[in-house]
Amino acid sequence: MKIKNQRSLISLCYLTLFFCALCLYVAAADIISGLKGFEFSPDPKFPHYFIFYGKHFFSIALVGVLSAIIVNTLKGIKTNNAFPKKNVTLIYVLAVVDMLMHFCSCNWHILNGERYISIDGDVLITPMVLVIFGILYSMAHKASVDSNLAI
Amino acid sequence: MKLSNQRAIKTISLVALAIGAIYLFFVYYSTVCCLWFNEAPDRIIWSTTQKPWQIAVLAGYVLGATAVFSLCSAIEINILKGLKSGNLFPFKNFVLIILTAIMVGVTIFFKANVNDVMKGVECSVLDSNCIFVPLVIIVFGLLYKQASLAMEDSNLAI
Repeated sequence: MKIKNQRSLISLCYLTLFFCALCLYVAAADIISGLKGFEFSPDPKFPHYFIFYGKHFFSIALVGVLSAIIVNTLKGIKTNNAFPKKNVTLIYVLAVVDMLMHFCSCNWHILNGERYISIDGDVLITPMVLVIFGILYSMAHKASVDSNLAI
Repeated sequence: MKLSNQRAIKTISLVALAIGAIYLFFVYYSTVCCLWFNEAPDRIIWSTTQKPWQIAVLAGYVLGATAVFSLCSAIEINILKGLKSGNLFPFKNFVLIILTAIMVGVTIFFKANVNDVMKGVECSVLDSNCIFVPLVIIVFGLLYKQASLAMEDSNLAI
């Protein structure tokens, strides 16, 4: 691995981890303030609970999974394996969690009594891009293993 | 490369591009509606003091969305070309990914402000995603560069 690329990757990984921590803090504060001040409609049903708790849960899960990917990458760089296999599964999980989080976010209006479900462009496009990235990542993992074997 | 993986990449790329195109069309349509249709519910309310900023935000949002879609299309076309020629990680995509990261940050900034600005609200917000999302894309871009180098090594070894 080129030293320059490795250094920039490591520093950016740490910067991303810092932002992940910041996002976790904001999400936690959001949950605390949301739980205190929020009142469900008189007859709350499953979709109401799913949207309300789902948005908070999935935003925390998203940051958690992303942090795990970054930490795995950092560990992998140290052991000269920039594409650890366990990250492939995590990227697919990230795609699913991202889709659910965006779904809950863009259907927040259900909590205000609206009855229609909306699907934003982000609900579909970002997870698809992540799935493509996951497939490419698995290919990169294989190439990296081949490259190490050849060396 | 497995044929199933190849097919999956092709199919998902094309579906993502199609959804992106629909989304871009929606952005253009809503912009035209808010500018020229008097009956539109979200019609722009021109502010006397902030008109240049309103125009800049609206134009920035539309141009940014167009740029992101164009860059993503270019990246996916390069990947699809690479699949045919056996080079899965074309190096030119790295520059495109970095450009996409910058444009995504800019577009998120304008998107976060466009609704308020159209209503004449005189304040701007800097969404944390303006920095966080581009950062993640750059990390993925660097990994892509690394994969490209590993692939070159692998091909050389063969």
